[in-house]
Amino acid sequence: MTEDKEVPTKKYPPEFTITNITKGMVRTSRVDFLFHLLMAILLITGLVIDLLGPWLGGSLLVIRSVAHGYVGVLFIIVFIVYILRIASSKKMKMVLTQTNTVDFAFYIILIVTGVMVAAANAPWIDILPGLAAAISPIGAYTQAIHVSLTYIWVLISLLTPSGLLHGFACTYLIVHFRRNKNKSEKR
Amino acid sequence: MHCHDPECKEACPVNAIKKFEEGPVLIDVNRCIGCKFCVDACPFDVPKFNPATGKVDKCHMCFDRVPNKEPACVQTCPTGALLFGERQTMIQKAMERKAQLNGYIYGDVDNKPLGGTSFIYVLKEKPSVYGLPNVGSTISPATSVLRHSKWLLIPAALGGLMYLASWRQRRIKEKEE
Repeated sequence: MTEDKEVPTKKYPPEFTITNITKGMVRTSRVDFLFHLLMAILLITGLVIDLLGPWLGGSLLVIRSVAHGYVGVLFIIVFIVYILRIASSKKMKMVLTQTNTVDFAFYIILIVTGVMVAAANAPWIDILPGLAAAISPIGAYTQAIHVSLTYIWVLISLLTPSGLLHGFACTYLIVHFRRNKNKSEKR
Repeated sequence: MHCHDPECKEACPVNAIKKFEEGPVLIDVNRCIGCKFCVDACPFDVPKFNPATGKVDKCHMCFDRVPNKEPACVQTCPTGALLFGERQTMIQKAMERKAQLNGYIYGDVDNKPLGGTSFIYVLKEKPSVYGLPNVGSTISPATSVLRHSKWLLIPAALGGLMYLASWRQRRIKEKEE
């Protein structure tokens, strides 16, 4: 007696859902997925602090310290790994565009100024007590650069097909294909 | 220094700093998010970040003592070097003392950093000798950029919408063809 084995069936091409896309991104490159996720968190939390600060007030303390601060540290680590991956991979270098390079330059300046702004915070002040004192004379400029450069990046990336527009386009494609797929299934 | 147009107030993203008509510039600790923008914006280096609390603090001109009592520093100063009172009276006294010393007034009269400060110094030597900074009467360009750069979102949104409109038109044309 032979038992009928159930063979799992897989759809091809796979469904174009946000879950599948996320899974696919993680499977393709965890670092790439983390990099984009953390960047989105930092951008959104930064904008929330600057734009909604007058209304949300003290409730933003956790967002500023945890979601923007500690996530920022995590982003720096992931960014370094990401850059090293790109530098060591011929394939990644091939798909790197000029806008990507400009974007990376933006991120590096944002990271440096972000670190300078956070230097007086605990625990960094205990680890590197001299850093905050050393950069205090240029403190006002680092904040202005950190905040204004983010808005400049938003402006440039919406006026030219890069950064933010690239993100919106990807989100649109996912939603659009999903809607089209639902329509075709109904027919 | 409790400036007339405080730069720290302009830099604060959560409006935690308020300037009162009576003079004091106060930080609402419940609203403070510890971003330290005020710390770096202040040309007098007055607000101080406390890593233990994660918030910023500064002199509050003993608002809980005034007007029944003088601020604690004025009351306890052993040499009587500090005076407290109505602004015009204090300026008058400062000008008299300046004439006696043939010195300088810092904070008002001679120069008005950030619209004039509520702490007025009568000095024998030039303010720079005492390490007092040469501050303009208006906020610095860096704080101005910090405060107003969010307006870049308007052209960004308009640009994005224009891009979206042109892309949609292209798509419609492509479909027609």
